[in-house]
Amino acid sequence: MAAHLAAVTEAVFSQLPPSVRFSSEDEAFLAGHAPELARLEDHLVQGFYDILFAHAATARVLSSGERAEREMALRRWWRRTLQGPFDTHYWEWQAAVGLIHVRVGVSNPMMIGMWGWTLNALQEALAGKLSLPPQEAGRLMEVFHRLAATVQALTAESYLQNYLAVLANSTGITAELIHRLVAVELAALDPSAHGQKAPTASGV
Amino acid sequence: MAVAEELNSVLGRLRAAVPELSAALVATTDGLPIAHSLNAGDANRLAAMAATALGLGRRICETYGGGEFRETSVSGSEGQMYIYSAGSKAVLGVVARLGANVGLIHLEARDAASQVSQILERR
Repeated sequence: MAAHLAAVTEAVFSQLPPSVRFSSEDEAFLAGHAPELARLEDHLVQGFYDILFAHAATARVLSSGERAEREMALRRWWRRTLQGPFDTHYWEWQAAVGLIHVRVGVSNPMMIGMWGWTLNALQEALAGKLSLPPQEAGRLMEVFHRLAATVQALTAESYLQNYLAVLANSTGITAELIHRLVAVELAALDPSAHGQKAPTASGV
Repeated sequence: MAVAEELNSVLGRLRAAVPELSAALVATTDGLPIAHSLNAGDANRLAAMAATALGLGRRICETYGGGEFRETSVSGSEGQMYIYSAGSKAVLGVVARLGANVGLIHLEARDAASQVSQILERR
């Protein structure tokens, strides 16, 4: 029933321009700073969940009493990210997060918003807590931004594809038909695109 | 004879046999119209709707153990649409005014759906 994570991952990587996605050079640079970045774990985890539990919409998703479990999930991600490798398993795991988000009710705005917070927190911590030279901190932030773009793309696309897969499975309406319904509906809004989006039928 | 021509002939005969029909179309199961005869309306939209009803009908049949899906209908205050499975690849949809002879529609449209199925299965 679920969208194939390998297919989603491959599709996302084919759509992301190489210059904006996380690269092997990024991986090497991140690995070189892993020991010092590991010191930020508690700071990031606490700030992350303080925000989520302080907001009604996100707190509802995180049912009470499981903060330690949630924190552990983020700790595992942070440690694995610093440790590497950034292989197929890692990227498919990020795509799997999209499916998990559908199940537990984490929306894409919540996910993207917290990525924004994480990047800001990292930027602040690199200069503050870690006292990295500005050039070094700047390069690391570029790496984190490419990581964020890649992971967000995987998670959001997986969310959509899994949502559609569940809808297709429950209603019997294939993904191709869903795409056609979308095309027909959009063509109605933009008559000039009608012929392209929904091919003209042959009439009697 | 090309497939589209054959399908259009089937629709032509169907409409001749049931003059109360205001539309008849054949669409693929993913909603692409492949032949149609409409007095008015959007063939693309009707085809997509017919395919959607087909998909949902098949799933409902599976869910309640109704076997292979055959047909479904949607009735409004001004008219009705009947949707028939036309083999594994297509769906036949017909639209009629309120008060049309439902028995005649079913008789002719089921036969037409069978012909559509045979034409497409030959490909």
